[in-house]
Amino acid sequence: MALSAFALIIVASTALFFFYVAIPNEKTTLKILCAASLLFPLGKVEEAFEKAHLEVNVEIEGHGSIQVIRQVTELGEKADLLMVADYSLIPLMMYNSSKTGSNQSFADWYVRFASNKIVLAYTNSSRYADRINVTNWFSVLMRPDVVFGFPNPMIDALGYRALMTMQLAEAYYSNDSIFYNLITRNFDPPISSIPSNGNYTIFVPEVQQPKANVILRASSIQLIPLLETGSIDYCFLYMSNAKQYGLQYVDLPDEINLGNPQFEELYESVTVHFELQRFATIGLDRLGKTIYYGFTIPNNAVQKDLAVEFAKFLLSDEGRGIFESAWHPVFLPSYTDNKQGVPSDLQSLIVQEP
Amino acid sequence: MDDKPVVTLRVSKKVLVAALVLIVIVAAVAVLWVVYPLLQSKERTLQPMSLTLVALNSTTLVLKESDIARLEPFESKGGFKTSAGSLRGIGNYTGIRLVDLCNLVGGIDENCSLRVTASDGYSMVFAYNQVIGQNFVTFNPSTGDEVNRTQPLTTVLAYYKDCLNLTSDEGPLRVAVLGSEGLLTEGHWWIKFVVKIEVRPAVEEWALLLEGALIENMTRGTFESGVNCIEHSINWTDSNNNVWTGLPLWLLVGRVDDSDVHETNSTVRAFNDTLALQGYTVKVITGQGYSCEFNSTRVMRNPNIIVANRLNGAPLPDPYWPLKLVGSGLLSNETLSNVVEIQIIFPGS
Repeated sequence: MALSAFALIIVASTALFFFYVAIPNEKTTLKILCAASLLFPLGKVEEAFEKAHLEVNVEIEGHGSIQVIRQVTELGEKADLLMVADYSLIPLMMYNSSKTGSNQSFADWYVRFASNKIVLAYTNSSRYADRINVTNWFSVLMRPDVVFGFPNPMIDALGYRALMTMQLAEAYYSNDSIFYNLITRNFDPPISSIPSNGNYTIFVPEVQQPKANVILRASSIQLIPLLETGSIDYCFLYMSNAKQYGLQYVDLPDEINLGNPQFEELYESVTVHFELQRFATIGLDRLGKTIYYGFTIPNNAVQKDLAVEFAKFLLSDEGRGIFESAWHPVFLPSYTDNKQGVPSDLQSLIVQEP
Repeated sequence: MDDKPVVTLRVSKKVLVAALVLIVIVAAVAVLWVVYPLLQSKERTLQPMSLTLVALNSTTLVLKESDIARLEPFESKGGFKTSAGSLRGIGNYTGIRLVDLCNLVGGIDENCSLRVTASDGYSMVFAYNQVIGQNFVTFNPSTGDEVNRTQPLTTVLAYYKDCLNLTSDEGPLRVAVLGSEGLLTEGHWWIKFVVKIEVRPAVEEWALLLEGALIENMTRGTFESGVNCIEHSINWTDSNNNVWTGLPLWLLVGRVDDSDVHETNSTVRAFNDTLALQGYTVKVITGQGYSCEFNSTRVMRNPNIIVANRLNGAPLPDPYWPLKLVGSGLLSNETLSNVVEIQIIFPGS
């Protein structure tokens, strides 16, 4: 009798458990994959969006920009909105590839919605913080007692962009030893920059092994704590991130910071060439370009309408205000390569690229 | 009225005891529910998998799950930190040391690196010191803060996590960097869906074909022994401070312009000045079939036309590899890359 009662109770408890588990989550989840450098402002937009949409739970996951796209195109993840630090990756990786068993591409439009620029970040505790400025920063970095960092160029777009900045600095400061002294001699095997007809190709070997004065990490997010704790004196960052984390920075000239489209031709004089093809779908070369962030809604997104709603919120006065207060201004209007393809609710907020 | 509280108390005690018994039973069932599969998994065979090992000499060995199951397993703790700062995959992993896998195809040493490739084409290259567990950035598994390790790390190809086969979103095989402290390492080293590991030489072999009165297929070793000879080696620094190191073109031409192949001193002149003054053409050819021609008088004893095999002390990167024509004695369109052949074309030949 007692055994039956216990059995009954266990069955009832189990049923209750499964009933509890089976209760549908009333909130709809919007999954956003984004470049790590967008995590800070997007977190604030998420907060505001969820306040205005109580039925929505926004999930934001940060990765390197290439990985953001690979999650969808190669690793089978479902995401509703992709936001990357290099808009050109969207057509490159998504337009000509399609889901298995389908002719539909993963995406057929992007919105180019924000820019950024590269700065040299530091703190008051950094060696020579009291004397570094826009004219002498590279000399400070060359000092034997100074340690500086940047993201691994193989892993993070900011990493190869930092290499480009250091090469571009040679022409701007009329000093052809900057790249060699900051980079080439600080790596074994060396990272070399080879001139050819006024252009430069930077060769990144398969293995990156910096010597004592340089620190590489997978992303800027891992460098900031090192800067804050004094493990390194300086690091190359996006300006938005430097401001978001309250760091001081050297505002590098537009000619070298990859943030001003007027200097696009100059930026294009530098190419970074990787000895290792890390991704089967991405070539070995990265050409210097103005930094532009882009987003798209994948064709296989589960919550397309909600993704449109979020994007619309981001491009609205309120969303742009939030980004601006996080020191990462959003374009007004933003640009697209395919206005016809963009969801109609977004079309009033964007213009076709020339 | 007065009895009511007593009755209530008796009922409550009963319920309490019953509830306690129930909790114990439910807990026991729950423990069995969780532990049983773990115990069972200890005896579980590996899921289907295929791993290709490529040796330094390019021979291959394909391992199936039954082969991998026979290799000595290594088990320890680990996890990784993504580039965006998330802490992931924390657990107890079981797998085969990368070093042990390399040993199946002839081993690996400090002159080699290891390329690991996933089924989706993603790949990374591990330096030798990483294959043996060194040179990884480590993070505290609770806080994610960067910390120094005090215990060794071991790099493995893992097939179990917490005694269970790796799931289809990461397995059947993935790289894991493990240690008794359970520290995390950078996520890009934790390659999932691994299907191939290749032991690769630090320096790829190559040969330079020299054709003239003699024919010589000069190996990398012979070329480098020439470069290591201080009398022959020559450096040139370009406008970006890069140091190119190699042999002057005339010295290579001198190996095959006549029967004297090695210039040892002033009495034995490998380079035949008389022939050069009479005039012939030196043709430098690339792997893609491009070429440049030089008159012998321009090449003769000219230290400013260099066939370089090293850049800043390292072998040349692609697309320059294995040899590049550089030097202040060249026009920009003469700085050929990927040089594989040098011909001497004598008049009338």
